[in-house]
Amino acid sequence: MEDEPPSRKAEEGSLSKRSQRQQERQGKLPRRRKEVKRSLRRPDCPEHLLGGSVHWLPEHPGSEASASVEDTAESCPKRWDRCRRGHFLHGPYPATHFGPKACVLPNPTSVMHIQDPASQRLTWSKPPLNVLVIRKIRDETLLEPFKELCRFLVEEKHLMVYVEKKVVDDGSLMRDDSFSAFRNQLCTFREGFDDISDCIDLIICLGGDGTLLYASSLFQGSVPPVMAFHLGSLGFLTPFKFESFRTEVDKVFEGNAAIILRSRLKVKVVKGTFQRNEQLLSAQENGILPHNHINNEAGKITLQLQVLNEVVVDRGPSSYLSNVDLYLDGRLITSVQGDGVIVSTPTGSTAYAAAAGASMIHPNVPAIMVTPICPHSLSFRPIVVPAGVELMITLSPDARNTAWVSFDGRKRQEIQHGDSIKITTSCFPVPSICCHDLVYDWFDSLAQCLHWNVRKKQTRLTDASDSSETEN
Amino acid sequence: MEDSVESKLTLKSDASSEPFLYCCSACDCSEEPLRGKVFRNRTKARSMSMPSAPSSAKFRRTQSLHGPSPVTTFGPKACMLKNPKAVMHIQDPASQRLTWNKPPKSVLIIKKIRDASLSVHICCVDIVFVPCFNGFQQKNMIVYVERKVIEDPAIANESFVSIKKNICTFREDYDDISNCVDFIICLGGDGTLLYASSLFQESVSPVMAFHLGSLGFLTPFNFDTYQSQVTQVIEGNAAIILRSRLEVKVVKENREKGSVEEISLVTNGDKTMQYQVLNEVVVDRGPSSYLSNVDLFLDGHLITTVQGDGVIVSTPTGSTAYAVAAGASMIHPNVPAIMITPICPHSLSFRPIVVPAGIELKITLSCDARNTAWVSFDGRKRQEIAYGDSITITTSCFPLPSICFRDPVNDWFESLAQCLHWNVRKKQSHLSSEEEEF
Repeated sequence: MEDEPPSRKAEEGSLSKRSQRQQERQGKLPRRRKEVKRSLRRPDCPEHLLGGSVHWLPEHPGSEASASVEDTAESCPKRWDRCRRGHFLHGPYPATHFGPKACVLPNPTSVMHIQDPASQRLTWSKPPLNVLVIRKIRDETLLEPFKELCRFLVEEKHLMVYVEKKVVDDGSLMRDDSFSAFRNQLCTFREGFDDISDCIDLIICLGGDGTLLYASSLFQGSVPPVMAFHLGSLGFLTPFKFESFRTEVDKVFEGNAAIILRSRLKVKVVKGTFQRNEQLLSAQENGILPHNHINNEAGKITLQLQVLNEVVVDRGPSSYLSNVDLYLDGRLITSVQGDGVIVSTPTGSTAYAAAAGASMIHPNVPAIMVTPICPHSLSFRPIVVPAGVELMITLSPDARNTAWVSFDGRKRQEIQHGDSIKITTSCFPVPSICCHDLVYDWFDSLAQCLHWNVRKKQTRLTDASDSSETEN
Repeated sequence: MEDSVESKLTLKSDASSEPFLYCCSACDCSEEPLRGKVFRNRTKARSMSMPSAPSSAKFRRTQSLHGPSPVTTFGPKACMLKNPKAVMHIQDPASQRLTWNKPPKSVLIIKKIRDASLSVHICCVDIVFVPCFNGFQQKNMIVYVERKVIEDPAIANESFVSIKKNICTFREDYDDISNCVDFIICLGGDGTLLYASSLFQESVSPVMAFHLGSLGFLTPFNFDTYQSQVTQVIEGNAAIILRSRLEVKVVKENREKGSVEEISLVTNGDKTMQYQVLNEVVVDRGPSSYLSNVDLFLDGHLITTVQGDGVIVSTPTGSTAYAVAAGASMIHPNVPAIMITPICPHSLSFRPIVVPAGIELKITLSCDARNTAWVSFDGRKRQEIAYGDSITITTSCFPLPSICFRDPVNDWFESLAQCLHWNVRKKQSHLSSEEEEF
């Protein structure tokens, strides 16, 4: 029954095989890489699980499992010495035996292997050469730091620095002679024209959470690691202090930096899949269109985006209530009547969703948050659903107006009857390099940015007799 | 009659739990065409045009409920450092099925002792309890019931008296039945499930909960068809949801200064009590009129001080209980998280927060507190917390396996709608004529 050594080796072997395969793909051009992946339609599931091994992974003694094969009552180790934290961030392995006779049906094909978020570290397969520097454009205070940083990266670290054209074409930068001489060594690209998504090894953001959103929008597939500096006050997404940028950048280059994978949403706008388009129906009834007429636009994906904060569906300029239907895993769960609805990631839960009254979710919780904006309902509480669900938003057939959708505040467009917006968690997170502690950093920014629960503290009673008077 | 030991390791194939391989973590999802092409074992891909009522079409998952495995390469040169010692194996919660190593022999039936009206209560016994019991007797199963239930004088009617002698009784707080019960049936409201959870401080047997009146949050089954439902569960692979619980330790500082020699070296005489909690742990100000003033530590860091009526630390299951009354968002039970909600905080900026399930929380009285605090666990075992005492909370590795009626996602939204009337309002009607908008 217990032959764990061979299966454990097999697991580790398949892990390294997978990373090797991934590394081999690194050097290929983007288009070729996509084709390679399509032919490998069969997913990269660890072979040993399919090979008829009857051992249910979490029960392997010596692996990080909590449930043993028998006697779950006694042998349930809750601490693992190897992890700094001592247990997994997603919680301990649940016991898979329930009482003396029941247990979970082993199903190895639906097991995911992920690195415990608390132990995620960055490593370089090759030393980074190309750095993208993102700076907020209309902020005078960022010019000097920007110049300092570029100089450091080019002259001291000998890297190729990419910047967006608008960033270097700034008036005051042009007037700076020392910078103009240096400017030729920078690589510029134009947003919307040049695709740099496969050329960048590291991203450095200067000033404000918006720079991270911008970085996310440039990379619709795999995102290079992001190091974000704040220059004034601490931001939610900008943990590093600019003053110590030299040491911090050096540390990141060494490898082993702690990273937090900020999940993104994969959003698709699909035109006209619903046949409830009244014009279409009446046209068919009146014989203008044949009954089997298919809307040529039906099923066309007009937009596909990766979103870091949230997708907002609202009523646009119309004064009518927005009236959108919300489907989850194919099931209609509710209709949102009001100003609109926000579907956000945990990262976005402290952005617009917080303004709309939602609870704030730690970025390491795998979830999607659905928050209504000014709902005309007394009972519409925001909900938090598992990250793996598929949401769909469509205009309700009874809607009096169209809706408008925006993605991280950009690419705003109209949603007509028959269109649908499909949302799910993306497999391409934004790897954000952490400054101090993966888990605790978030509370620091809650306190500093939002002044979470900051109030004057009530003083203690000096005389002991006071408390007894008011106690009944 | 008993299956051999090896049977528990056999993979059962079942049409309802089709093995399903997820989208490869390294594949380029951005170019992915319609989902139909990702499926294996499907005879035809989904057609281009969706039916106008998508909820009627059977939905097939393309990925784990937990979310996709994130791609671990970031750009051309960076990737995640592999650390095989810290790899988690997460099974998709949506595909969890229950199976029996050996057929269940003993069942615990939990029902509410004091129902609203006596007639309802007797009716409950006749229509529900007795048939339920008889059903299990026919399967040659031993039935356990708590003594107070049996000894309730209100239900001394004929049919009950006759079966009374065939029931095994136990006394709550005296007898530990946690290793004797293979299966649990709960009849009546959500409280019966909380009671079941309190009886099992470690591994919990599978729970099947029936509602007798209206649908409950934790009671998805309708009693009308219980016989067939129970048979199905015992014989087949029912869908289960593992409702996470919190493991709570209360450490009471030793206050007897006199007995130095008797203080144990390990614990310093501190008394530690441990509880498993299904809904929530509530720390409040008790009978005192002063604001409660408790410090909240997360993984050893002080994150905030709660000043107000108190604070609720709840599981996702408990997020629709007391926490929802305190203004929290509602979390689906499959999200691995812990929710921290303040109760009437005297602060304009104390929003409830949702933190990862694996963290450790500690609650202590603030040193400036003017009064002691009181703690309760799922509403029970209420006790005082004084200076120097501490409450430590983590996610337990012993979840409560609750059998689903359909599946974890559907069941939850069904109960949101029926129990809380979530977002129910009169729907605004369509505009019939083509009028100007303004």
